[in-house]
Amino acid sequence: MTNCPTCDRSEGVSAVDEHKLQELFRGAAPSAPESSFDRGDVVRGSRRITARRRVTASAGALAVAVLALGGVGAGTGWFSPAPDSPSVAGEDPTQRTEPAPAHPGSREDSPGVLAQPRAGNSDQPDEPDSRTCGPPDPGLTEAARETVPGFAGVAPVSVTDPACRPGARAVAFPVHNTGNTGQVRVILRPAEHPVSAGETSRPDGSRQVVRTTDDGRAVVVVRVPDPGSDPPRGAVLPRLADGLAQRY
Amino acid sequence: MNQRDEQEFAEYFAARLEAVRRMAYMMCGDWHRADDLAQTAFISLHRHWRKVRDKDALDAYVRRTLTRALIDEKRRPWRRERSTEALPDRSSGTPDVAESVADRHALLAGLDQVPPRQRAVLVLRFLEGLDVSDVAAALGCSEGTVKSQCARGLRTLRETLGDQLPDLRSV
Repeated sequence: MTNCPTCDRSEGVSAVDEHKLQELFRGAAPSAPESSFDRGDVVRGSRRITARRRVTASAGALAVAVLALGGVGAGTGWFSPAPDSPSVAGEDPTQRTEPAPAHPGSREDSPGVLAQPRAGNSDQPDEPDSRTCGPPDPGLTEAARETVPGFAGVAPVSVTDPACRPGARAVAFPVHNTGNTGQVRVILRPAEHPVSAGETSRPDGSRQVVRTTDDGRAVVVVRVPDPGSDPPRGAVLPRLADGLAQRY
Repeated sequence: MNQRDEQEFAEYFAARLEAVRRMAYMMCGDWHRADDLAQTAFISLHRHWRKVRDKDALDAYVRRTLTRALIDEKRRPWRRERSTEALPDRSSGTPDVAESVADRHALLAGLDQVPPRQRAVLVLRFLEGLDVSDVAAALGCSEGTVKSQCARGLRTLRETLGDQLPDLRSV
């Protein structure tokens, strides 16, 4: 307890009033329900962020090094073609070919664009949210329930989500809390449809957490609010994604 | 972190988890959101554990991280709370208990009407018992700002609650 030597009327409270207010606030703080996270979640989250920042820093350093090397090379003429090089000097511009784009299936989705269809990509649905992953996968359902026991009493439903891909396994659980309703969707995408690990939120309140397994598959966990509802609980997503990524 | 650091963190986590979650709840009014905020604060503390030389300042670090996470979150339009016309149902039970629960609901409903930064000031001042300078340090603002935010927050509470909380009315 800290007395308040600096309290004055400019704060709207005297020392006596402060004592009353402290009683009022402390009496109003209810007993807490069981925590939805534990120290293991905190340690895993901390290590994940640290690893991500290291990768980002390494990539940045590499990019700077490449740019510096490129600048030096250009300045010293390392990359200039020989004057009598027929492959450049005699080249017909109309015959120059651009490298073929990568196959759409081999392109890695970033977590922020999973729900946004890309024009001209045959791997994308015509309508957002129109992809279906089929009926709930029993194995994934069981794994999700073991990771988050709160799903044990919830009937699984099939998943329709832009993240669905051929060969993906999926399950969704309807969730609700404090009057908000929605779904938690779990999608295990095969390695040929990779997704960058990360966490993103979208303006409609959807939140997505992606983790990758050791063999390159992606665990995509999405919390989607029902239309007109605020998002239901979100703290379970990283735990669910981490647990499933370790399991698979 | 080495094993000794992990052990120290584990002890701090066990000792402060419930208090931090309760503070977060009083600041946002939703347990799930409070857990998100508390987890964010503890993750940040874990990441910077070795840099926090003064272990007496751990609480201050957690409060600062939590408050900033709350205010950052409230700036996102899809996470803003919506006001409701009706207050929660009053509890039935013995008169003392019912009155206590009703007071609690009334105060929480009133806090929902207080802007996030002012609400954080009120919680840090009157739940955590910090003085003005400590609140200013937690929020990264001047003591004058803390005083004015506190006064405005209390005024909003009084206006919102009317005569529902005599203790508040009299201060």
